[in-house]
Amino acid sequence: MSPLVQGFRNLPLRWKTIVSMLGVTTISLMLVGAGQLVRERQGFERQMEQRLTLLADVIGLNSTAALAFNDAAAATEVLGALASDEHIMAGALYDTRDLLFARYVRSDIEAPLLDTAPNVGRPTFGGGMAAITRTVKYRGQPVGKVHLLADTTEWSNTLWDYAAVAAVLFVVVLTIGLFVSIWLQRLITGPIIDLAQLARRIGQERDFSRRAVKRSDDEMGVLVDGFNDMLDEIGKGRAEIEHGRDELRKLNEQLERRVVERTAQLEAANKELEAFSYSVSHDLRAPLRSIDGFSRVLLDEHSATLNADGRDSLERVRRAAQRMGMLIDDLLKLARVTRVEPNREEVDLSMLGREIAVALQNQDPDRRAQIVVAPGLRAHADARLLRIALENLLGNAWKFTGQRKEARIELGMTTNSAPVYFVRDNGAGFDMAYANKLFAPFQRLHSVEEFPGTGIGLATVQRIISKHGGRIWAESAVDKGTAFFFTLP
Amino acid sequence: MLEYQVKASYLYNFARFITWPEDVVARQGNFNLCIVGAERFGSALDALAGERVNGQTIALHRLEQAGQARANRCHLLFIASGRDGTATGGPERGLLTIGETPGFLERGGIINLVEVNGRIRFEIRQPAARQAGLVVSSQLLGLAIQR
Repeated sequence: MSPLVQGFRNLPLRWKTIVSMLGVTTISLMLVGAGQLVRERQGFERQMEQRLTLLADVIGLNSTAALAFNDAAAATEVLGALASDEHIMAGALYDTRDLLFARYVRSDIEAPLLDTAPNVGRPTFGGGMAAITRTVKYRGQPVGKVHLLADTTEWSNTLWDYAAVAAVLFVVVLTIGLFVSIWLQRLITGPIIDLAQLARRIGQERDFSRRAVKRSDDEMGVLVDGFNDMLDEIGKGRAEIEHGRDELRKLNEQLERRVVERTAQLEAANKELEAFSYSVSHDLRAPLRSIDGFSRVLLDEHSATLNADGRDSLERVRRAAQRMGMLIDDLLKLARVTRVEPNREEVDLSMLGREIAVALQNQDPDRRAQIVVAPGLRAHADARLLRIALENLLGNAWKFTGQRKEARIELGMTTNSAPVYFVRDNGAGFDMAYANKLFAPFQRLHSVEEFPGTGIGLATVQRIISKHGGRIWAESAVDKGTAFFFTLP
Repeated sequence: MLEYQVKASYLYNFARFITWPEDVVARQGNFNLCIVGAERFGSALDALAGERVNGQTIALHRLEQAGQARANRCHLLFIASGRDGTATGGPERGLLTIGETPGFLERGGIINLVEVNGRIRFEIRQPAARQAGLVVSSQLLGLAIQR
């Protein structure tokens, strides 16, 4: 796009209108003026051509005998008649060999006449002169040529006068046009400019109560109506939005207050519950120890008075008491884990894993299982809590690979932007459909007969990992083994 | 020699600028141009033979004396100086007589060629031309020496 067009595009509407009107006027005037000039010029040339042709033919006709009889004096006399026409600057006759035969030149000038005849044809114009050359014939036979030179400066002056008048007229018309277009422009663009100013003011002051004034019933009127309707709608919409925003704010405040209250309530309840379960567990141990202790005394010292059924019952009592003890221990551990805040330090996970593996093997020296611990596993975590978590995970793996001939347990790490630790086994596995129950306390996916346990271990592990801000999840399939993944950020 | 070349072209131009009576033109096919004393022209006349004038072809007739004009049905008769004798008499219908001898017109000739200041000019006796039924172009009359 040319800079001119771009400039016009950014011009204010007022000037666009004025420039357009003046532009159209200018173009029309110029076209009309130019057309008139061309017409004048053509008319003059046609007239000149007729006049020169006629004159040349008359001169030629009167010089035929002079040319035929080579009488230059007579020919000069004939040419002398040209003096009566002040516009004719010069005339010449050429013989059949195109050589200058006779000439006439107006007394006050010096006309350029050629010694040989110019080409015959229609008149040529230029240099303030018109020239024509025609063949002189007598009874159809050429006897020579006649050449005339006419002064056209007078005519050029007329043309210039005409152009000057046109220019003056042009200025006058343009001036009038300017005033008319300014007046018209006010009529047309005035309402638009008012509307634009109103829109700008509304945009700046955000005052949507203003309205445009309708002054006419044309498209501008429709525009003003539409603009006002739009302002109405915006006003309504803004009121609704304001109202809605207030409501929302109130609701938010209520909600936040409620959340704070509930959180406080929950924390209190949680603390009470933890204290309760701790004390209950703690308090439960003493009677349990009595049950187990006295059962053992009965079995040790009074087995003779008991029959086989009685001894068996007592054995069962003892086993149940011991299981309950384990349960209480686990519950206490869980409660403790929940209460304690992690005390982070550099932990060598590999070493921890190896220690636990040795402990597991020692507990069950008859089992043959391969425990692979990847070297160099490190984490920034609470060592004590991490030991409990690993004991549970590796213990689980040990437990659920019990029925495998070639048990294999692996502790390792994958790095995927952040380190992810895993404990993988090739044990019994579980159905992923129950994966959501995995970390809830007392939830067991296998029967106690199949795999012993309290159902608290994974709950404890999950608490430990989440205390560290980490995440734990499992991937498994029945008989395909299980993998637990966890992060410690 | 140049003089007779000019004169030959004059004879041709006289034929063009003078109108013969209709009946004389219609009578014959050719324009009979007769010369008494043709030897003076040398080859200058040759260019004229076959040339057309007023729609007729020029036929050259070299005559011994002016008296042979009628027999040759001449339209134009040129009599060289010293050859006019007494034969011309009065104007004859349809015959343009041209001479180059002083007093030729007084002896009944129509046009006489005269040398003036080294240029060849001519005099015309208009009444004689009229008597012969010839119409002389006013331009030609304008060029003639005024007497």
